[in-house]
Parts: sequence; C-alpha cells; structure tokens
Amino acid sequence: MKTVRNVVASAILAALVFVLLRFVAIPTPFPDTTLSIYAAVVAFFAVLFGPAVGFVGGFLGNLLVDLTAGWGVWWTWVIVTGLYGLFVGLGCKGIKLEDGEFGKKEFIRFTIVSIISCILCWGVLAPVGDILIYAEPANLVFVQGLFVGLSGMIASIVVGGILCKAYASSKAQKGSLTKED
Amino acid sequence: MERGEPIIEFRDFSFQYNAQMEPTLYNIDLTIHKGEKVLVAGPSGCGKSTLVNCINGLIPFSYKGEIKGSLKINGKESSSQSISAISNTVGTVLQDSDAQFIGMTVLEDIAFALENECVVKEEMVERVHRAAEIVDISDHLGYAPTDLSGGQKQRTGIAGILVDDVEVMLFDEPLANLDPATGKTAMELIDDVAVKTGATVIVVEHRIEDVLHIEMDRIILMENGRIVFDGTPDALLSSNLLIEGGIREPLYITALKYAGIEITEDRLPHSIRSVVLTDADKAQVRKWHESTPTIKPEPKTDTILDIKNLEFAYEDKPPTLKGVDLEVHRGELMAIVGRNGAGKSTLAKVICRFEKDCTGSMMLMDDDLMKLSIKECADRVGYVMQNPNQMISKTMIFDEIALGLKLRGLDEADIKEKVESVMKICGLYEFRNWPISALSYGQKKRVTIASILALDPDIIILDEPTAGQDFRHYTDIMEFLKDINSRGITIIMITHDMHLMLEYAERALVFTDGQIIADDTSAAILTSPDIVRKASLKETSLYHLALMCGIDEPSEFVQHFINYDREVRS
Amino acid sequence: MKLLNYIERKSPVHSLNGASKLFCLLMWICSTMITFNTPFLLGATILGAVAFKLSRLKLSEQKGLLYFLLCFMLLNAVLIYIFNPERGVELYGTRNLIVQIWGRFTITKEQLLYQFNVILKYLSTIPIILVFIGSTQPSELAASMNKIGIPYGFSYSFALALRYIPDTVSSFIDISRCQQARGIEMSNKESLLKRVKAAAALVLPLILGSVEQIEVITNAMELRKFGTQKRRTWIMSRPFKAGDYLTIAIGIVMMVFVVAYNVINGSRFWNPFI
Ligand SMILES: Nc1ncnc2c1ncn2[C@@H]1O[C@H](COP(=O)(O)OP(=O)(O)OP(=O)(O)O)[C@@H](O)[C@H]1O
Ligand SMILES: Nc1ncnc2c1ncn2[C@@H]1O[C@H](COP(=O)(O)OP(=O)(O)OP(=O)(O)O)[C@@H](O)[C@H]1O
Ligand SMILES: [Mg+2]
Ligand SMILES: [Mg+2]
Repeated sequence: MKTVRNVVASAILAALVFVLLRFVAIPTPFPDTTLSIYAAVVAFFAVLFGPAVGFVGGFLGNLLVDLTAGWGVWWTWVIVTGLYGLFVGLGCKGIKLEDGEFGKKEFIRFTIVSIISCILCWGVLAPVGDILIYAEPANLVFVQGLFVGLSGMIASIVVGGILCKAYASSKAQKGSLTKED
Repeated sequence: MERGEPIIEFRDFSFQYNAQMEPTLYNIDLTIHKGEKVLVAGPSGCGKSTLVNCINGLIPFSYKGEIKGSLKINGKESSSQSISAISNTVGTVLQDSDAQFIGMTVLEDIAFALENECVVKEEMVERVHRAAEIVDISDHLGYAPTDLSGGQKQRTGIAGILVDDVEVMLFDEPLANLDPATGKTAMELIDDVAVKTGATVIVVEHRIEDVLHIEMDRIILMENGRIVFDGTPDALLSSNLLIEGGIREPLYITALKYAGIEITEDRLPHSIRSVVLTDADKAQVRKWHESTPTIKPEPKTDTILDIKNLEFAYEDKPPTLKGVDLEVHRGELMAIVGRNGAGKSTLAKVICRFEKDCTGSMMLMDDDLMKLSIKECADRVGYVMQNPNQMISKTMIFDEIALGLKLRGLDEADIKEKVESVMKICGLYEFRNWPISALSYGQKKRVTIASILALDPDIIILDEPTAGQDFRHYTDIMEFLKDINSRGITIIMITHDMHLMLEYAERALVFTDGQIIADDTSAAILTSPDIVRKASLKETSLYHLALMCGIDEPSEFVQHFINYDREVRS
Repeated sequence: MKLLNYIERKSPVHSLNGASKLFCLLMWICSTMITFNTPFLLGATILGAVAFKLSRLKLSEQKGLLYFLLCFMLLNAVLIYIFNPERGVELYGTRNLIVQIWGRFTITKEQLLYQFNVILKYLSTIPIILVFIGSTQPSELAASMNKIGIPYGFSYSFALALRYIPDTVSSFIDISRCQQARGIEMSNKESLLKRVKAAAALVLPLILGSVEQIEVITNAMELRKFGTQKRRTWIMSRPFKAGDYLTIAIGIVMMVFVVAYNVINGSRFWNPFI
C-alpha cells in the first residue's frame, strides 16, 4: 500500500463490504435468495482509488464477514472478492472520477469491465478454487458461482454505475449553473 | 506583554487551490510568537481552515495548489520541510473529533503518533500516561470511541498531540457539537495545557464569546481570504468590525450598545468579568431595562403531542429515557437542550418511531403514535437529522423533495405543484434545476427540511439545525424556521446553542440523564444557576450583566433584551 | 454493536501472544482446508475442543454463531448430496453401495466418508476461530499481523476497518430509517431493477458519506505521521513467552504433517477403500 489514503480507503471499503454483506439484502424473484450489492461498492472503490484498494478492501471486508458469521473462512470466495476489485481497478484505470469524468464512454467501459470481471471471478475462479481445494461437486459450485456472479453483475452495473455517476457529478465544475426565477 | 521569538511567520503569502479559479488566501502577513494564544475568526468560507492547513503542512503536502510568498515554521520555510517534520512542531486537533479518533481505544489513539515514530513500548506507555494525566482522561484509557462523550473524545484528541511535546497547538472549531459547559471546560483545558507546556495556541472558532472565556492575546479576523484585523480582543470588540464581518458579538456587548453605552478599549470589554462599568453606566443599563415594559410571550395551550412516562433503552444498555412526560402545543417553537449524551436525539428518534422498543404513551392529538409505522408517523412528525448528507439520496433537488410524495403515490401534476410551492417557501426555487452537489451545507440543510415539509407534517423535529454555521447562515436558517412556524407548523429544535435558544425558542425543555428537569421560557432557564449547573448549560452573559447592574430580576432583563433585539433587527 | 466477540477472562489461551495465536490459526485453517485425511481432521477437531475448554469460553456465549454453523453445515451437506450423490465415488475411485434410494440418489460408503470429511472440516475450524476471536483483544490483532510479517499498512487497514465498522453500522441504520420514513420499501412486488435502484437510494448516502470521511481520516493520520517510517511499533504488542513457542510449534507441525502426507501418499485423501 503506497499512500496513507490507500490504507484508509481500503479500511473504509472493508467496513462497507461488511455492512452491506451483513445488513443489506435485496429480495430477488428466486425463493430464499437475496442479492447483495457489495460487489457494486468494491467496483466503485476500485474505479475511484485503484486496483490495490479494491483488492485489499474487498479481501478484508469479506474476511471479516467470514470470521464473524459462523460458516468458517472460505478462502476462495474471500480472495475472489479481492480479485474482483483488482480486475475492475485495472480495467478502469484512467477513468478520472476525481475530476468529474464519467460520461457514456466511461460507463460503457465500466460495464464491460464489470461483466468480464464477474464472469472471471465468480464464473471461473471461485468455483474452480472450490473444486480444487474443497473438492466440492462441480455442478454445485458452478450454480453458486453463477448466481453470485449474475447478481454481482447486475448490482455492479446498476448501483456501481449510479455511484460513479453521483460521485463524478459532485466533483463537476459548478461554472455552468445559473439561478432561475 | 512581552513577546517570545516568532514561531510562525507568513510573509506576503498567497495560496490558490488547483481546483479554484481564484486564490483562497491573499497576501497574508502574520507573525505568531512563542507562547501566544491566538483566535482566528471569520465567516464561513473565508479561508480559516485553509490558513490552518498551511500551518500544519497539509498545504502544500496533501492539498495541491499554488503558493506565493513565504511561510516559515520555527525559522524554516514550510515547503522545504515535510508534513511529519512540521508535525513535530505543530499539533492539530481537527474539528471532527470522531474522525480524529483513529485508535480503537483511548490508549491506542493517544499513542498513535508515537507508534508511527517507532518509539519503544516502555517509553510509549510512560509518555501516554503522562499526556492522559494532563487532560484528565486516565480513567478511560481502555474505552472505545462509541462509549465516550463528545468532551472525552476531545480530551483524547488533545492528549494525542500532547504526547509529542509540540510547540504549537492548532484547534479547528473545537467547540462545535460540545454542550455549553463542556465547551467551557474544553477552553479552560486548552488554557491550562498552554500554561503547563508553554505551547502556542491557535484556535479557529465562530463562537467568539465562548472562546474569550479564557484570556486570548490576539484575535485575527479574516474576510474573503484576507486578514482584516489583527490585534487585541479589546480593540476588536470596541470596533464595529465583527458586525460588518457577519460575526456575532458577545451578547453583553450588544446589550451595552443598546443601552447607549459606548464600548471603548479601556473598558476591557473582552470578557463580562473584566468589563469596566461606572455607576453611571449601570444606571443607564437599568434605565434602558425599565424604559419599556417587558412583554412575556403568550403561552400556547392547544396540546398537539402528549407524551406520558416514556421509557426507552438501547439493546444491552441501561435505560436512556427514564420516564419522560412532555406536552407540546400547536404552533410552538420549542428547544430541547441538555448535556452531551443526555438522550435528546434518542427522544427524537423514539417520537418518530425510528426506535420502537419503548414503553409509555405517545398521543398525537387523538392518534396513538405507538401504533404507527415509521412511514405513517413520518406523515405527521418530520425528523430532520443533523447531517443533511445522511438524508439526501437523490442527485437532483427536485427529485429529492419529490421522493416522499412519489412513494406515497401522488400523481405527477400534484407532485410538481407541491414541490414548487415548498421550494418557494424554502428559498430554493431559483435552484430548482441544480444538482444537489452544487449546494452549500446550509442549502443542503434547507433541501432536507423542504423534503420533510412536502409531506405536510404537523410537527418538525430538527437535530442541531445550526451546528457549524456562521452567523449569516444561522440567521438565514432560523428566520426560515420562524417563517414556517408562523404558518402553523410546530417546531422542536435540539440544540447546544444558547443564543439560538434565547433568540428563537419561546419554550425550552432541559434534559438531563434521560429526564426532563425543567420546562420554562428560555430566559428563565438561562438565568437559573441551579438548572444551568445540573444540565451542563451555560448562563448567558446577560445574566451576569444584569447582576452587575443591580437588576433583581435577571430573567426579565434577558427577556427584555430579546424583545428589543428582535425589534431592532426586523 | 460488538463486532468481534472478545470476552475478557483469565485463561492460558488468553495470556498467549496474539501473533503466535494468529500464526497458529492461519496454519490450522490452511492445513484443515487442504487435507481430506479423516484421522487428522478428527484429531484437529478434538484439539480444537481442548483449546476451547482451555480458553474458558462458554458455549452459551456463542449461541447465535453455533446455531448458524449448524444450519449452514446441514444446508451445505444437503446441497452437496442433491447436486452430486456420488461425488465420493468419483473422489475415491471405488463404489461400495449401501442402498439405492431412488434414481441417481444412492448411498455409498464413499459418499458418507466424503461428507463426513466436509462436516469435520467445519467442526475442526470453527471452534478454533471462536477461540481466537474470543481470546484475543481486537486491539492486539493488527500488532500481531504485523509481527508475523504482514506489512503494517495492510495490518493497519484491518485495525481501521474494525474501528469504523460500528460507526458505519450506526450510520447505515440511521440512513435506512430515514429512507423508510420517506416511504422506501424493499420487500414489495416491484421488478428486480426497481428494487436494486431502491437499494441504491438506501446505500448511496452511506457510501458517498464514507468516501468523504476518507479524506478527513487520512489528514488526521498524516498529521500524526502515519506512514513516514519503514516500520512502526505497537503499544498493544506483547512479548513472547514459552507458551507462544508451543503454539507456533503446533501450527508448524500441523502444516508439515499435511504437506508431508500429501506428498508421500500422492493424494490429499485418506482412502480406506483400497
Ligand atoms: N480542498 C479544496 N479544494 C478546493 N477548494 C477548497 C478546498 N478546501 C477549501 N476550498 C475553498 O476555499 C475556500 C475557503 O475554505 P475554508 O475551508 O478555508 O473556509 P473556512 O473559513 O474554514 O470556513 P468554515 O467556517 O465554513 O469552516 C472555500 O471557498 C472553499 O470552497
Ligand atoms: N444506537 C445506539 N446504540 C446504543 N447506545 C446509543 C445509541 N445511540 C446513542 N446511544 C447512547 O445513548 C445515550 C444518549 O444518546 P443521545 O444521542 O440521545 O444523546 P444526545 O442528548 O443527543 O447527545 P448530544 O448532545 O451529544 O448529541 C448516550 O449515552 C449514547 O452513548
Ligand atoms: Mg473551516
Ligand atoms: Mg444528539
């Protein structure tokens, strides 16, 4: 971690991932399944602060959840959350949210990067890791991965997109505004 | 007084943030000497924090921008040092004592700087204990920030810079969010530490009267990035610069001026304890007091909210509300005051059904509040949280105000009409197509009030409506609240600002330890030493003025002042 | 809100250094994760129970967590069975049928052993995690991480996350109540997209507010010299004692055993069927 800001941003991202994983569950049409939007925050922080923060924050957040939840530490999934931040951060390098830059072009890039990263992380890496390390049945882990990957994708694109847009517009120059009566 | 060597020297110093079109500081010439106590005042946005950040090294090392001229800290040019080198000389206590609290416990937080300097553990423990001793927090070393009061967090913050034997202590708005008595203690503590360590103290504050509770050597008044005054408190208070700069004078000064007494430097006006009044002056004040009969505001009687024996406890904690009885009358503008952690915000949350596990009864006219959901309750009682950023979820002003109406299924045309009328009341109409991000803090606050107002509640509860606002914005917000109050909406404000309570609230409730210990006019409460002490409030300086001038009914004097002041200002 | 369920108590486990416990925990989790050696897992489970006993923690203090563990373990066992009733057969390479229930649902000795292993993996790790969290002061964690070689920036991130999670939780609760008052509901029959958007409205203030905090916290840390030196000391660190070396040794032995077994045996599985 290079700068103090990265250390702090990773910690705050971890705290947010923790809260979102533990407290925010969005009902989906599937019975007994909820959609967690932590992937969106990881993606947003990765775009804003870079791949290192995305990786460390995602990793720590998920680790803390696993440590306190009672299902044991599932390293494959913990690391994959971090890798998702890493990939989105790498793929979106150069988007300067800080300067209020998030138009159509950036949004499309963000969307494509999110989709690829989701497929890579939850479609491939997490299930393969589970098979190799935990020797779980392949079809089970791929179904789990597919589900988390898909919901992460939707959350990332919609909520992550809204977040990036909102942040960028709060940084935009104010020169163009005039009072009306 | 005798001055030590210069420790901070600005020479023709200007600074421009990279993101700004214009400089934020212009041609600053300022020398601060060792051991001096300096107050920096000025309206919001004039560059006080920027000045502070230049001294502690955040500028130019964290915030990028263009510097002209020179700034020497301890004889060395600041831009040639590093932020950590400057930190060895200058310790900063930030405004937000919560964010400043880095460690998981008090002990770790105080040790933070030492840990970063790789001091060995044994030495660290000893120095931490010494610093904790000075600020009197030794009994709480194992506490987490969630278990500490505002004042205790502040003490921890001060200890955290004291461990490093700094020569300059910088405080950016140390009093915001502290209750009046704690604020007073905090200032005394700062004074005490300065005496013990011989450190130079620089305080940035809007609340001049509260800072002048201790003897300050100098006041620096800023406006639009320039220093417009640099001299003793006495000299400043005997000029008109404060009023012109949009800053509030101490109340006793205003009262003396109303009574026709000229404030001059040799009267030593910097504190109510020091001010010199001749017998003739005192007679003049008495005469002013008796000139017009004091009219007491007519109490309202039509009960709108009736709370009986309300009790509430957070999970795993001792009770926070212990049997609250409260009657609110229709059309009242009422204040709730009391020490940090007394349970004021909790009461508001319980009334709005944010917290549900309570016992007792709450009747809103003929409806039982206990039976309503959060949403149903929100149609009747609106709650404006202290931090507007916690309430705003849309990016455009219109959408934000319309949100509640949309979710209640009104049709488009009605919503548009309603939102526009609310915007007009709140003075937001001219910004109707702006994104919220372009608004200032005070304007955002008005947006949150507007979004509550749109739902037509009978009662609005506001948590700290004016915290951190300068006098102009304070007046804007309060006049606006008074205006909606005169339209028949009952308003309850939670506040630590005794001025606000005096000036605007006709009735005040005093909260201590989960109970209401007094319910009276603001003037009566702030002139009762007993209540003031119990509830950690602060007597208004008008009270002391009244006593000094031999007026036997101080509360009437205060009431008279409020009435007179309102007339003059309107 | 209490995040990590640290319980202050006098016990041999509590008096150990956090760093040695953390090292042992990591070795423990990794070795039980890799291996499918049933006797080893059984041994680890018993050792974990002993550690729990030694730490003087009580089962009743961990009720919620244990309940959750039980549910999760059962759910996972059922899922594994439904998705692949003959996973054990694939893994062990033999097939000892006990009963044929219906169609592809069979019960084989191999499947039973495999699922027993999975359950043992839970039972051998969770108690040790509970012991670690229950007996190690949260403040000591970061110091311990740094001591076993993790860079201090990363360790401090962890400490800061622990510090700010309670704040984030309470501010999230405030925000969500406030939005509920405005009328946002998430459990209705709206389309998925609308629900995701409603959730965005809920978390937007929380996240943007946190981003603003980052700058303030960064300033506060820089003003107190964080990150200026190559290393840092920790006021919560403690010296090593004899028990700590023993703890570290246990961790090393477990790891070495598992790796050695895998290499010598040529497979991670303890296989009684051949
Ligand atoms: N990081 C920054 N980047 C760009 N402009 C800034 C930055 N910080 C402050 N400013 C601008 O500089 C001006 C002075 O801000 P500053 O924070 O110094 O005011 P202040 O006197 O401390 O006000 P307040 O009493 O509200 O704290 C403001 O107009 C503000 O918009
Ligand atoms: N969410 C919570 N969970 C547990 N305890 C809480 C919570 N919120 C507040 N408290 C505790 O309840 C008590 C009353 O808090 P409250 O916020 O109502 O005080 P207050 O009068 O508003 O103080 P202040 O003037 O500092 O805002 C405090 O001791 C506080 O620590
Ligand atoms: Mg400021
Ligand atoms: Mg409060």
